[in-house]
Amino acid sequence: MFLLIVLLGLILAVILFGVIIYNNFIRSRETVRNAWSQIDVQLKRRHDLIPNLVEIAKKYMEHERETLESVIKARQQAVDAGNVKDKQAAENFLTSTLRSLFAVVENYPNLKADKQMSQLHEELTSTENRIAFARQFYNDEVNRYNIAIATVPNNIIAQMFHFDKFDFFEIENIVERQAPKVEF
Amino acid sequence: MPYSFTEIEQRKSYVIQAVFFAMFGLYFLFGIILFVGWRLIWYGLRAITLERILIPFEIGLILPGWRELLAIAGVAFMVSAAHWYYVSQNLLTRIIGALRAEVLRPSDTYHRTFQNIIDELSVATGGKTFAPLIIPSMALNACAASDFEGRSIICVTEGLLAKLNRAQIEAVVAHEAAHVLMGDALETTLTVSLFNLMGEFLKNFPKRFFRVSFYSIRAGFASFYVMIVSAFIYFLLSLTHLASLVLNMFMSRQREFRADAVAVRLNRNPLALAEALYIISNNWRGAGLPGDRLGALFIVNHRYTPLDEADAMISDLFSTHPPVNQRLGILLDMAHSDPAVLESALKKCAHKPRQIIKEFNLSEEKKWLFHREGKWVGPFGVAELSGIDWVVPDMLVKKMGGKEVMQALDDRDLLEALQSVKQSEAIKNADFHCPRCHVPLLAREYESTVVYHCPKCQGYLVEEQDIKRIIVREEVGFSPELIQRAHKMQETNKKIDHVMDGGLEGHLYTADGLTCPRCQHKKARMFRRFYNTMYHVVIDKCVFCGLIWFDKDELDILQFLIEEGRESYRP
Repeated sequence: MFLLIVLLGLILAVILFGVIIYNNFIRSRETVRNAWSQIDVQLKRRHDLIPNLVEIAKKYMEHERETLESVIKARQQAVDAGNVKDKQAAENFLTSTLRSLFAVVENYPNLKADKQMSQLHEELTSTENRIAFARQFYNDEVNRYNIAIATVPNNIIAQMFHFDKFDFFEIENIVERQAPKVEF
Repeated sequence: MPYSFTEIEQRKSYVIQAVFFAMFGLYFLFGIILFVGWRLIWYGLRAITLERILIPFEIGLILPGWRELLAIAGVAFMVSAAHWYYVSQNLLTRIIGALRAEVLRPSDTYHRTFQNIIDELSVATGGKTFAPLIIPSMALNACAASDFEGRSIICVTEGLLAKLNRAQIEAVVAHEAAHVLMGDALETTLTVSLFNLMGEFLKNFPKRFFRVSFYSIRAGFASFYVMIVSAFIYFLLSLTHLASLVLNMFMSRQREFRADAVAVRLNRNPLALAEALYIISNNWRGAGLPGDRLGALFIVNHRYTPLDEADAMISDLFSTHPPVNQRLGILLDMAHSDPAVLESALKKCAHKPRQIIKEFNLSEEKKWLFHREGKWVGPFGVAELSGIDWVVPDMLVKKMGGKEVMQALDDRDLLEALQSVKQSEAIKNADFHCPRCHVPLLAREYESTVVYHCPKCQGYLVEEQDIKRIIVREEVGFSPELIQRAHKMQETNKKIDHVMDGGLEGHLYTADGLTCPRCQHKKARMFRRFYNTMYHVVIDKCVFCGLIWFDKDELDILQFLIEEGRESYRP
């Protein structure tokens, strides 16, 4: 009888323990998902700003059609991108085209002095920072979650209820990651 | 970093209880001192006979017994509970009032950047919200405060926004956000509100009372009572100072280190925070300003004190901020840099490029004829354009005196004039008229704030509180002629001031006092005076609303003189 009670107690304790861990996983997972949606919000903000930017830049830089068109194309790709991998690639490409656009803007003092342009520049800088911060928060949360589901004894529960690892949202450009080519 | 809210809540309640008991202890001690004092006076007065005074008092007569002690404890508990309750209501409102903090202006570029930075850090903290506020001062400092409902504010000074670059401001705001995130902003806010806030309110009284007592001695009445009241207020002031020193023991100096570390975690830029700390600590941090007794809330203490900069037991107990050099050292270690590199990098950092503002020199001659509904109408100048809404860019126009007919958008001068008119329409309450020429003033951006400009006489109308903003932001450049004129003006006006010897409290009496464009009342004369006893630029200031009128070039001259004085401008 005594043994039975102890056994029952043990089983109950294990179940309770499991429930707590499970709930923690759920909480963590929802935080990660929320963090991901925050990145989406900020990316959308960037996509909305770009047409205005191009519109203003068009007035001043007639000889830079190509740069502007590449920005528009990159934006469209980013908007259309579906899964995480595509999105990353498209967003990184968009970042690099924007960078080249702002490098060109340096040659147009009138454009730089334009009030709307400087406002937009500030908004874009802010948006870039927000994206970076949202990504940072997402990656931190993913890291916490991934560690939580992989450590013993949590991994047993994680495997039982199919808690899968999340991917990081990575910053590096595919081009940047390659080893530098040396040319003679 | 304690991320989970339960952890933060637990810590919060523990420290806050300790603060409450410390306050209770203070009141208890104060009660005992009062009791003993009262007994001394009571028995002392009764015992004014020679032999009684010579005989030492029986200690038992003076010290309270256990029943009295209990009564004192009860009263002290009630008083501290009432004090606690009073302080915890409207915690933030009181702090904001003491700091004279203002809400942001959406039309101001600097404020917009600050709002953006706040929003960015809100993203970085995973959605915590902060209310941004501005302290309109030229000092460099920043602070954070929270209340029991979980609301929090982050204040920065105008000087900070003007002097630091974007990354540095972001680092400072991240530091303040870290205080809120770690939960110690609430502890600090509460501790500071208990006694420092009282001191903050009281500190203005003695000066006023002494001035009043000075005059009343002259007049020969009431001076004795005024003196007694000011002495009493001084006594209260020193009491609040003592009490706040005791409560400072509950604020760990370590929280600044932790906040620095969490800030770096948030924005991953230790170098920017180190630079910001270096610049803030080597500039005026706001000693003497409203709010300088609330130093514990700020990133760096207002005053330079040896207590803060020492690394000893006493400092650990009573100081609220760790030595700046230690903080810099840790941050620079994180950034793999060292103080010498930082110093030389900041010294090398060039001043922002200046831009000499071109005036709309659209005097009487520059007027246009407009082709409207088959007829030429006009001529209209800038002053009239502000009342006209039918001018469109592809309209045919003719310059007065010229033969050439062109489209409105091809005439650069007209375009500029229209833009300035449009700008003034976008901003409300721009319906001021020039106090000299009575033409409508045009609102225009000047050093990222709004001033009202007369297109005819080139004068400027500026709100009183915007003067500080204009002076601290160093965007406008100065031409050599202006510099020459500034020096000349300073020299001649100094002589006038010397003759007056400050006798009229700086007022220059004139026959043609201007009427204030806002108050527009006959009595609302603007007083002509020098800006202050240092910078002898003549201004006209409304007695009621504080609007200030600058004649042509005077605003630039004032700016130049002040910037030359603080050696931030080198031609």
